[in-house]
Amino acid sequence: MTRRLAMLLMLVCAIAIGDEARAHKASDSYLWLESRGTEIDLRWDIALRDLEIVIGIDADHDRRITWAEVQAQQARIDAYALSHLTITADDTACAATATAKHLIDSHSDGGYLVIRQRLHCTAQPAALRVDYNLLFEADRSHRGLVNVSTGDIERSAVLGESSRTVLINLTQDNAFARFTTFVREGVHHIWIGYDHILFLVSLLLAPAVVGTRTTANATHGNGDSLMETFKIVSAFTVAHSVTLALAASGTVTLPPALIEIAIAASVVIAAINNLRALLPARIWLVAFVFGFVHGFGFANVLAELNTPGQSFWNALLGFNVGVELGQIVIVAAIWPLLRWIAWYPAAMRRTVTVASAAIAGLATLWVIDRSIGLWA
Amino acid sequence: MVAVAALTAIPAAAEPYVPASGDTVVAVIPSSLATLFASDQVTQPVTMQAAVMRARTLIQSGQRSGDPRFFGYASATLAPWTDAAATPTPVRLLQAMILQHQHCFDEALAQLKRVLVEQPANAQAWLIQAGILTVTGQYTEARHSCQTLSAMTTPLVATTCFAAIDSVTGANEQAMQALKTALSKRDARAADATVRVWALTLYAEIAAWSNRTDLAAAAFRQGLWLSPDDAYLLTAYSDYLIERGRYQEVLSLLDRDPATDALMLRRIIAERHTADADYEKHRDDYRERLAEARRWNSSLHDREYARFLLAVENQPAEALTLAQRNWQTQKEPLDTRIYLQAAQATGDRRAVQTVLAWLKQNDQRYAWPELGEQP
Repeated sequence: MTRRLAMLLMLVCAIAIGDEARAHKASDSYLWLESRGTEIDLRWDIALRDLEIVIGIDADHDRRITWAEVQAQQARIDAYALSHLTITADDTACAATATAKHLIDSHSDGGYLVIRQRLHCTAQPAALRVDYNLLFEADRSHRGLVNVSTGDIERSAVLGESSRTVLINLTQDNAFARFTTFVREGVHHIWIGYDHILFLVSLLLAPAVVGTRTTANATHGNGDSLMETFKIVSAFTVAHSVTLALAASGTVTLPPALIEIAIAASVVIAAINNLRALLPARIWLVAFVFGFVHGFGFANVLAELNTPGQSFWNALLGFNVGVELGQIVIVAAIWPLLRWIAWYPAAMRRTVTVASAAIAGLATLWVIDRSIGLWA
Repeated sequence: MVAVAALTAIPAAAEPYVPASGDTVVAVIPSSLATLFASDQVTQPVTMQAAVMRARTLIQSGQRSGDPRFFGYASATLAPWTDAAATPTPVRLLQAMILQHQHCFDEALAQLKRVLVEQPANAQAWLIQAGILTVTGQYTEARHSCQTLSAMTTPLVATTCFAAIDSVTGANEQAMQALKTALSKRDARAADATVRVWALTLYAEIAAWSNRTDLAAAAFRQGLWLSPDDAYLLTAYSDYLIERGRYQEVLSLLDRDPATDALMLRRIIAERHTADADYEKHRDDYRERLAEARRWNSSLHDREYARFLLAVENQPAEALTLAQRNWQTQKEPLDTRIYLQAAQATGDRRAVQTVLAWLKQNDQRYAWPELGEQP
């Protein structure tokens, strides 16, 4: 009799639990931020079973979390959750001014606690920074799914153990503004990307451009040099634009580490070619072929930059235009300098030798450095 | 409370509520989770040995239940050692198991390779490596791993390792025979339930593919008797029943709410064929989960997604794209089958030819009733 009763009770449990247990899903929390003026309304859904492992809500250990048990731990839950999230508006953290009552929501993998707060920022934010650290100490696969909206913009981001911070721009909501952001990024990248600059410089030091082989018969004038430079820059541009688009759109993927080594190697080859001709005299062809490699490098940078809500092609075009502008500025600075040195053939020869040797040496170090990184 | 009124205006996926009473159950904790996170155990293990033991238990819970959260817990438990400059070998082995679960097969194999350099006699590393190589269709290499393993382990484990490969390389009869013999030996009866269930599941699957219906059913039931909530076993048994048009039995097998997406999908397929009243609701739930997962870039199993598109949504072209992509990394019979079905449904003769050639090369013809219709 007792046994039968026990079985019956088990059956009841099974039914009750069956009602609540939902299909498994990896752990995600949902964070909605609605920005209006200087206020931000926050709604944060966190799975109760996730809170259970860090807080211990199930006081009677019957595996069933009741609403009363949640309410009993409300203060600890809030303290835990809110200390693992920081919302910053333009470098100043936004403080909570009001906390609404907790709610419960049913997601496809079970019950979630809904935390709601109103935050006050010192000024209307132009950009929101979300620093998210919830649960990673207990679950490395946990993610924070962030959705930010203002009256007319909606952006989302996925935060995880290895990407805990996101900067969400709330003002630049037109395509042109986003475009110019990426133009700036493109220019910035080519200027800080010494490998690309030194590759270009090595090509500009090539005999066909500076005229060391032909100045003896004085036929190599500014016109020839400018034409040669134009061909090099155009060929480089066309080639790297092609691979940038292919790689950034995911059509072709290559390991970034190998690309970085190949880029460094292309600098070595271009520089050594100035000391001892290895490659065809048509330097634009060299620029064209190696340009493909450099395009993959640009794509890796773009991939890291792309922020939520950006149209991909807009970002790609902006970034590419930025790279070209940055490149033109560099060429415009170096070419006149080289033309001036070219008045003195001996000095020109020495410049080419010293600069190419230095570039080749530096780039060889890059090749070694990047290769070590690969094997370590 | 002005704030509350304004806050409720936030658009949300579902409508949150205040539970009717304090007694309302708002969430249920899975039993394995409750045991593993009993309040006195929450603290992070201090020693590497303790962390490895805990992570191993967590991974086993994840494998049995199909609950991906357990792999995240295991990963966090190991974090102090995986983040260190030199990861200890036992930690690396568990990392490989986590990667395997996430279908990062190349990364998992790389970790295993390093484990085996350090510990060439690590039986578990050889076993996991054999498993990944089998799943990815690298049968010669897989066989070599089983060979090395067999000197270090029990006959049941070694037999199952080989049988998994034999069953997909034309020797299914032999594989069944070997498993049957190994399972009936005395040491097998004493073996760990996990190993027995693994061997039984494989036996049942091979029997099902070979159309040995009775043998398959008996083995499935025996496995479920040993491990009633085993998500993999339940999925395999459901597939067996679906294949034979026994939809009603699928529904009774999965009468409780299914624990994984894979089980949800099997139930939906069965409901569709029995014109069940819950079919549309469950299909919409599944659609919602898919849409949600895609929106947030969550990991989706291409094979399962393809099957949903083909068997439920009637979208063979989309199914083919996914099935094809899945088949590039995974070549278990189920992966091959969904690829072939999608290819046939869309009339993609080149894809069909690719699969047929591969099946022929590996002598897997027996598993494919559909092949009879092919030239």
